[in-house]
Amino acid sequence: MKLVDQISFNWQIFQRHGLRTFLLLAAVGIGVASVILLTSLGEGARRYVDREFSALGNRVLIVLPGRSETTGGAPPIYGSVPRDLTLEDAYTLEKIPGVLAVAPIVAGTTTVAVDSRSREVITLGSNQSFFTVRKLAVGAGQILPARTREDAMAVCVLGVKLKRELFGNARALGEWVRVGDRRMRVVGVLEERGESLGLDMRDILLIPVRTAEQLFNSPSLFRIMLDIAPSADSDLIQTKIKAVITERHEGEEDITVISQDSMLAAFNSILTTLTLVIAAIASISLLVAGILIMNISLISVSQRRKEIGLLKAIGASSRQIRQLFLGESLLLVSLGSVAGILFAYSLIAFFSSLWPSFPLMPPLWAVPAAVGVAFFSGLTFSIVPAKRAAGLDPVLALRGVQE
Amino acid sequence: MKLRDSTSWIFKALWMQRTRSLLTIAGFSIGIAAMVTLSTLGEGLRTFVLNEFTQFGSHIIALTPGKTETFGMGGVLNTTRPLSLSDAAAIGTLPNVEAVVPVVMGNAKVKAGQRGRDTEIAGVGGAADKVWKLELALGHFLPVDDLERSRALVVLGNKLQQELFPGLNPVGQFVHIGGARFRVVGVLAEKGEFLGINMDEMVFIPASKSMQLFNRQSLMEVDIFFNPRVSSETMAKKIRQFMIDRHGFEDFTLVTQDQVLATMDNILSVLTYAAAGLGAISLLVGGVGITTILMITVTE
Amino acid sequence: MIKLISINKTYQIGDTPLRALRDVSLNIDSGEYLSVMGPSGSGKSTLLNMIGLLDRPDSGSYLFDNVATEALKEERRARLRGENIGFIFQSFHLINRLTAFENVELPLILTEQPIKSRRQAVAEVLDMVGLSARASHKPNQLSGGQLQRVAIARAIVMRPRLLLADEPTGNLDSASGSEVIEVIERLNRDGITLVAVTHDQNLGDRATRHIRMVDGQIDSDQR
Ligand SMILES: Nc1ncnc2c1ncn2[C@@H]1O[C@H](COP(=O)(O)OP(=O)(O)O)[C@@H](O)[C@H]1O
Ligand SMILES: [Mg+2]
Repeated sequence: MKLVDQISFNWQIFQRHGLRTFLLLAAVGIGVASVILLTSLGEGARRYVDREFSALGNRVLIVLPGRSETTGGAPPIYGSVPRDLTLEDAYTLEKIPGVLAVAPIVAGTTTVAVDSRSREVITLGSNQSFFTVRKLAVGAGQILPARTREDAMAVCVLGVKLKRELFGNARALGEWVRVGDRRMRVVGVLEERGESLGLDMRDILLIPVRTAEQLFNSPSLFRIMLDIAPSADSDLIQTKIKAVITERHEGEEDITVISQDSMLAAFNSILTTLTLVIAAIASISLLVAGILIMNISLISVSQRRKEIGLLKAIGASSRQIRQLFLGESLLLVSLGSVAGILFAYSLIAFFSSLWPSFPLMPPLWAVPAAVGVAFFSGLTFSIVPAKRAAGLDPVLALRGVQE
Repeated sequence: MKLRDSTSWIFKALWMQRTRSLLTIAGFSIGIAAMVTLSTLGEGLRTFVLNEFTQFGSHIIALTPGKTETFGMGGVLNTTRPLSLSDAAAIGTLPNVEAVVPVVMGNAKVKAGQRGRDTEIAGVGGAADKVWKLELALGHFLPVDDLERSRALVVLGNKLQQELFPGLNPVGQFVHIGGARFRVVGVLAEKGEFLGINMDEMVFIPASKSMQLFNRQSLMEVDIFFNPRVSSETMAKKIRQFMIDRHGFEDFTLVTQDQVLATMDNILSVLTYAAAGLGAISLLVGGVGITTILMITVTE
Repeated sequence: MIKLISINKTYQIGDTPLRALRDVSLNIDSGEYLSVMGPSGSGKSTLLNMIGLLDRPDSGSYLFDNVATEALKEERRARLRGENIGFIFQSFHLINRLTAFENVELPLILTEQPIKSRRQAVAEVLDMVGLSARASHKPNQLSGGQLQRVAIARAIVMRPRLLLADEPTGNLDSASGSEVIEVIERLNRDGITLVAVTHDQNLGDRATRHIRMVDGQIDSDQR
């Protein structure tokens, strides 16, 4: 039997049993669509993180004070160590070849006030490099002046939300704000931008690093962020950073260096695993659909005994009968898969238009995997019915006798 | 038809078409199994996490410096509104407060002779062992004495004792942390992980020493354990008022255990529903299967 | 063309064996017209299925064109059947969802004939049975006689040399019956070998060779 003939033969059966066929297609379609949709959630999360990181610039190293030897444990997040990581430490790192920019960061919370309005915000002390490394820009005014590298200037840059809270729609540039017990002049307002790596850049105060040291009465850096050259060897630079700081800290290696690549890789592997697990769970529905196909095929075989007998009488071999029934399942699975894919993609399109910022998209492997599992399940569960059909005794089948 | 008759009729019909019934049931039960398993896993996780959180009781209030919306980070960062040891000590004198544990965390190298290990240092108060239910393998915990004038004593986590004093009794020995000398007074029994923090690799020193060591002006957190007969709200209100009176205005954040639990519970419930929903897809397909078979049976 | 030698076939009904064919030997030459008559249950249909390669004997030998068929693989028997033998049944056995044309076309589809020659062959045989006008009708739109003529068209579309008819008029009124008989006798005159099982004495008498079966045995064989 030629393929076109077989397909049209099967198609006629589908037309004859329209509702049944529709339900089977729905079962396969739901399975395929759910695999695609759910994996695109996982993949979307992965891409989201990816994008967040690459917005930062892809070659960033982060130096944290302190070290933890706990195997597999978290990096030292507290930032409190006996020997401070100082601004001098940070600036020494600038001499390492391949390091493009070094942004020392002093972090704390302060109360920022204008007249009677005040707000408690996260306050970062840094210099111009911070804007380079974090790919930050101001929407109005300027970034921190170059002199803030060494000087404790009384200037600050506001996040947009902070600016709105303190000044409303009034002009903030050139105005004075109270930060803790000091007064600082606003030189810039950050451009509108959402959360970045868990830090809401809209509700933040940026001040010169020396000013922050005085404000918090502590010479201790919370982090150092470094931008390294695209061609530089990240591992080598990390080793050099450790060596430089260790030398400055009397032979004690008391820092931790994290590369953005490794953080991204960690996120990636977590989210990829998660996506795979979700895909596997969603695939269970395809198993159920396979069982359903088997059930219907068995019913179909017993309903079509006479037809099978007749086909044998007019020269169809067992192999041909088997192919006919397997082909029926395959056609069902194909159509169901197509329906599922279309359904999934239209939902994805719909949700993407609702939340354009979330990169909802199935991973490359999702469609082949979903269709593959659907076919595997459909084929496996069709073997028994097809064998049963092929094995029918034509004489009995023609008489319509149930065995 | 009587119930018995109709039941037997149904069973006869099912038996007549047993392959069909079996396969239908198989499909549907895989769906149910998927859903039940996944929601059980979700629920199990929820219970586990909530249990972890309530193991020290639910009558706890955490006080952190700074009035900030950034949940959790407040205490770790520098602050212009420090919480001092005397704040903690003063809260300890309030009625219905049973224990107060100031906390200052940090990382440092702990050295004993030639051996050393970079690890987490917890600066706490002498009541920490009772309220956190820490058990000692050797010696005793930090003494409950004047928070602001503590002696340089240290309690080692179990793993750390094995690393630094393998096969020896460290009680009475000295270790160096960040250049300062501490006398070992006890070793914790093995505890394992608690919410991702490995207690066995920690060392406990007095909070005041920790502040000196890490050169911090402020405590990171004060955990307040209060009389269970008083409600969280009442207690939180009392402490808030007390602190406002001390500092002049509200420059701190109070989080009750109840709030933490409610937030956790919310997150974990959503997770459980999501897992159940994932399983429900298979159930849906199983349902489609039942519809199909019923429909065929009816038209036959 | 056909040589049956001591064919035996026993069916097991519960515990009791039922001998449907006992030592049946029969030679049929090309172009013959046989009628097979006998009481119900005497093994007529079983004999026909045996000749049509639908059934295998328990013992004995069946030579088709001097080829021993008992040992042949199922695949090969199906092909022999498809290419050389046409079946007509009492209950027509048409597929309801297919049109008359498509029903007739089925054997050609199974053997992967090119679509053009397929159309032509189907049109030819439908014309032969006088149903050209009904090609696109579904079975439920046709009368009994027409249905059987569609079945005949399907049986001969592969140009078989042997036509096996199992009570072809059993479900038909006498007028439709004689139409059908007329068609298959014309095929016989054109050279096809015809074996017809029937209960109708008049029909049986029209054959050139008369076989009577009783209890699974050939009781008489007259020319
Ligand atoms: N597949 C079978 N299983 C059991 N008994 C059968 C089977 N086929 C035929 N028989 C029995 O064999 C005998 C001959 O049947 P058959 O050839 O159909 O008779 P006829 O066509 O002459 O009426 C009958 O008694 C019938 O019941
Ligand atoms: Mg018969």
